[in-house]
Amino acid sequence: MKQQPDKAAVIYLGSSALYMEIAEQNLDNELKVLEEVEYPLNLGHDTFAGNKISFAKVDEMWKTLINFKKLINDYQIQKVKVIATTAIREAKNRDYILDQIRIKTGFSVEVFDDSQEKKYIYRGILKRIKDNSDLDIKNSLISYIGTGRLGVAVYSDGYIRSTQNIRAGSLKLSEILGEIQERTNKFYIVVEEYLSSFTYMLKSFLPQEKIDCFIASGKEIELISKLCDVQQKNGFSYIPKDRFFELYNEIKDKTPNQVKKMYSLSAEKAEILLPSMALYKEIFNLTASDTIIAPFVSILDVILFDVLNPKQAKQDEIDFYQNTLLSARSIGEKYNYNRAHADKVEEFVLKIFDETQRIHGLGKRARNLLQVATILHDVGKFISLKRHYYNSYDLIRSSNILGLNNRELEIVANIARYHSRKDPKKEDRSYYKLSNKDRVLMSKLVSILRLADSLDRGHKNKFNNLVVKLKENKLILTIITNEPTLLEEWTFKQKSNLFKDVFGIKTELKKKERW
Amino acid sequence: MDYDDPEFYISKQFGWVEFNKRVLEEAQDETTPLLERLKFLAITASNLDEFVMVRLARLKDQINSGYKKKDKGGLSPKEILAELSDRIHDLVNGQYQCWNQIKIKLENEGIHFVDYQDLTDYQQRYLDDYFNDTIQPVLTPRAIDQSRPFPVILNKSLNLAVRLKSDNQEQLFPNKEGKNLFSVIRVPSVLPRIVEVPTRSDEKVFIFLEKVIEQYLNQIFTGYEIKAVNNFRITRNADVDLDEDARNLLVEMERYVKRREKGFPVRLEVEQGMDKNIENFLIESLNLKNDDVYRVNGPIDLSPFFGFRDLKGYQDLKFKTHYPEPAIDFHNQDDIFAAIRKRDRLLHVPYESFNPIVEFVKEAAYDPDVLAIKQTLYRVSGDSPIIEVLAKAAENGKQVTVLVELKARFDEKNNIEWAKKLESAGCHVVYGLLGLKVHSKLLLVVRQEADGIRRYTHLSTGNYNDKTAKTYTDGSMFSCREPLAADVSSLFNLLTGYSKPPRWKKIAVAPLDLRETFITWIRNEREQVKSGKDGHIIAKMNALVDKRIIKELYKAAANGVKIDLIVRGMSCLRPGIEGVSENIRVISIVGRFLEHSRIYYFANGGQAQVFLSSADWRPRNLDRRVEALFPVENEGLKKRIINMLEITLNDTVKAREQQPDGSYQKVSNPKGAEINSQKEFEKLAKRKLKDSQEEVINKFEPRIAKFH
Repeated sequence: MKQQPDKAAVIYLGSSALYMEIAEQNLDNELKVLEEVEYPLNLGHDTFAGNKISFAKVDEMWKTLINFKKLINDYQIQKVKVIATTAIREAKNRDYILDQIRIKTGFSVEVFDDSQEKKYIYRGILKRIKDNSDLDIKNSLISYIGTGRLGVAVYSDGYIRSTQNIRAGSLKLSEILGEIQERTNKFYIVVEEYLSSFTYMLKSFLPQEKIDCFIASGKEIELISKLCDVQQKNGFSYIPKDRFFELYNEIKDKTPNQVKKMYSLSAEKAEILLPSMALYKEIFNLTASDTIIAPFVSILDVILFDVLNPKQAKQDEIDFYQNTLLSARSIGEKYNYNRAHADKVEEFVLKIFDETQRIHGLGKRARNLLQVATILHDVGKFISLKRHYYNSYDLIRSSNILGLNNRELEIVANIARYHSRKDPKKEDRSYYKLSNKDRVLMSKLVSILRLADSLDRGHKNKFNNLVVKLKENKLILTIITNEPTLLEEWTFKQKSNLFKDVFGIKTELKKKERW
Repeated sequence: MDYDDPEFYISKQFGWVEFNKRVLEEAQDETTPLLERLKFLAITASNLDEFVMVRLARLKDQINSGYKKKDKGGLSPKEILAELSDRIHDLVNGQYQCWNQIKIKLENEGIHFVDYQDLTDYQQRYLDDYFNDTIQPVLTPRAIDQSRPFPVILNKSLNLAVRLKSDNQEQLFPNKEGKNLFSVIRVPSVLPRIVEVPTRSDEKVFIFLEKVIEQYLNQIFTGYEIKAVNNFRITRNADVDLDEDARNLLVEMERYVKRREKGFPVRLEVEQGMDKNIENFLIESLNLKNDDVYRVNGPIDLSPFFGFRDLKGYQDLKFKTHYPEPAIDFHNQDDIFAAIRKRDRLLHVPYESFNPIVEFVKEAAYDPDVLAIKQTLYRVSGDSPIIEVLAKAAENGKQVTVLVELKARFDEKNNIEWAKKLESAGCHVVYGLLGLKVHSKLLLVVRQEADGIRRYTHLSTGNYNDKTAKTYTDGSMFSCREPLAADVSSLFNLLTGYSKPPRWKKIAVAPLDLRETFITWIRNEREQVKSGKDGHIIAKMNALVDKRIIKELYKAAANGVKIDLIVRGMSCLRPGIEGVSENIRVISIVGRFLEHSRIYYFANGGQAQVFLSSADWRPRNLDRRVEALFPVENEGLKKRIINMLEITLNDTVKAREQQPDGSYQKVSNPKGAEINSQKEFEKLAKRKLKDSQEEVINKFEPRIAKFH
């Protein structure tokens, strides 16, 4: 059989509709969309209002999925991926729904948490920016209104430096504010007031430098750009500030019903138009930009690309990790971490991790998690030195580290929690919450961190050289220094116990004088 | 200018009568072959039946329910009905005058329609046997009197009403005053209405079935004295609602067809000189008014003449058999897919053969690279080759999706049958959309080719019906251009309920944006005139009713846009109004072939836009049906279509021009050249094919050796 273009289908169970995209990638690696299907089904409404998706909608959902499947068969697609986000994730009956879908349609649904969703979107946006030679962006805010959470990221020079997620997604907003919306024609004032607290929060997170661009993505901005009558260029649209505010002023004192009629929109779209414009307006005002740059990136597109290009997807993930590191460091800075110590420990930790590959058998992602945990292990000291590891755990858990999903964040937080003295126990809630597999993973990583951390106990950067050697049943760490190392040796003894427990191998610290 | 002025619009019902009058003109036309005249007459009759069952019934329904709203022509339902009734009576008189003329002419040709008394003994004996052996077993006489309810007389069934007197009436039926006793016998619809009686010469002799039965009634009503016999027919309201929410649309549809046979009576047809007793009894029992009674001078229900044209022999009394030419766009193209890949292809039936469409589906059914076939089916002949092929495709493992419109009026029974057939073959059959009739004619073939998926589509103005494609004029286009194919694919997703409407790239779809699209293009012509260019619209359709579009046409015309409309059926537009519609010319073509194509041309300041569509400019197409409008973009094909429009506009034989008063007149023909557009198209199809063959032959040029 001769080589044929690859085809794939991705189904996305969104908050207001079920989407499917079928595409093929020709031999020149160009993506050609064959079908774009949207079946309106407001799951978000159920999830946010009642926390449970109604029986009737579940019924409609799997029936529609069977229809989608017919279309998939029309093109004889082998690669199919079904994803879901907030609406399904936060539904109380999520597990039953997923099970029903699996039984009735044969699809297993991958449910993304909020951070995963954002990671894909940001990854998509970064790629689009990089590929667009028209753009020359120094500093920018990037915002993405998810259904659940609003994501705001600080971008500069090709990377995202930090991110902030705010529980004010479009649907969330209209759920919270929906009732008021019909009661007043000054609804925009309510929205603006409501958002002002978020704005305050955002301001504190912004860097000192001037931000001269504003990039926005999501269904809402697509709608806004359409209503602003903006021409698209290479899949980007550029919405001028005055045009944006013109539209905002046009709709701000209208009820959703009026908006619906004015622009002949669906009820759902009309409902979220004002809240989402108000959101964008707030963010817009934080920048010095005179345009909204809107690259039309949807999670479907990114996943579709990944499914069709698994190798490239892997590479993209690896490349994207740079943003995770930057994000972790920016959090460290926020909490005044001891950068010199963190860097030193990081150096040691990675060395030990790499040299002990044979006994821990962990992959690249685990190494990343360890690295992130190492950067942040001491941030709790910002709050108090007393039991700082607890504070580290809490701070990490409530931070947005771009590119880590909830599970990974939990592991990183646990590593920080146990890096000091206490050994992990099932009685600890934080440890208990991890899956069995993750407990082992976490313990392995934390035992390595403890070794590394002990080598810079005085936070003095005494050792510049560490030689790690893994013998048959012994791990030998050799430090080369002329300074006294009593403290480190003592700490090492204390802290290496966990390593011994986890890997069943002894550790030895050797010291070599420098000549 | 108030474009809403009722003076500017013609009530659509009158427009319809005018149309049927034009069909009748074909039956009256001395130059039409005799048997074809009879067929046209039959068409006027079945057209009228449908009109009575739906339009007239709806008017009556509106009047009964107190609906008084005036139509765009400024008339209330009552006013329309009064006027309409007069016009229909005139039309019916015309029909029977025509019948009696044709009857005499047929006699000259040796074809006789006779009464029983005119038959020879031998022939009467033949009918004795025919009655006893064939007719009587299927007859069911039913007695009627005050003590029994009036029997249900099925819609459109022909019946005999018999007034009887019993030899011993008092005992049998205790009617105190010795009132009339009536009986009703249904003329069996399972038997041919026109009975041929053998002759000993070349002549043909026919007698109507009811006339035969009449003769033998005394065999049925033994013991009674038959005082009078007359035949009659009731036409009922068939405009009943369908319960689309029903769980199983197929089953509901079957029920619906039955229900329609029992709607309220709208019209009573009786023979002239009917027994007054019987007549009064019927009118009273059916609760009808005098206006609803049609006393006809000839056989009731002329529609059986439809098939009479197929009488063996008599070639000179028929049109010369029409043989469609092979389609020029597929001439010498062995590989239909390759041909479409090269460029879009056009098909003009019935001048060109319908075959490429069947071939296309057939190819798709057997081609190993084809993954899926999707098609809308609206009115399809029962033994359609397309149904066969689709079933075969499903058996061959293709994904076959068929969108069946069960709601095609008066075709439901037929539709149900083959829908079941397709389902059992493994096709994925979808039964249209709630509340909307799927009228667009679409075909999509998904093919896995070396360089990826390629989608081939066919869009048409006419149904996928091989039978009607021999007599209906339609245009259709094959294409595999991606934006168009993607649109068609999305439209199928919409129709199968998979998706909400997308943003269309090439097509416009009713009831979503079709009217707006038309209006945009009409307004664009106005703008062209404003910017100093010529504005010209040519639109060809079956009926022009939509007020919003007509209004836009008036505005355009008033601003100097030239508008030529070719409207086969009713037109509610009034041409020739000073300052409003002087720039509008409306003609109608009624000829041997049924004009069915919908073509829309906009001059667009020199960049002509040409569209084909399944939709007429009437509300039902634009609001209550799923219709598609698609552009013809290939310059060659565009030219071909514009040429088609020009030929039609130049017709001097079959064209009738609409007058300001709504009536139609033969177009004036100062140059004297007789142009029958349908004949021109026949010639054109032949000539083109010949040209193309010569072209092929020209390719066999010898190579001249060049040595130096």
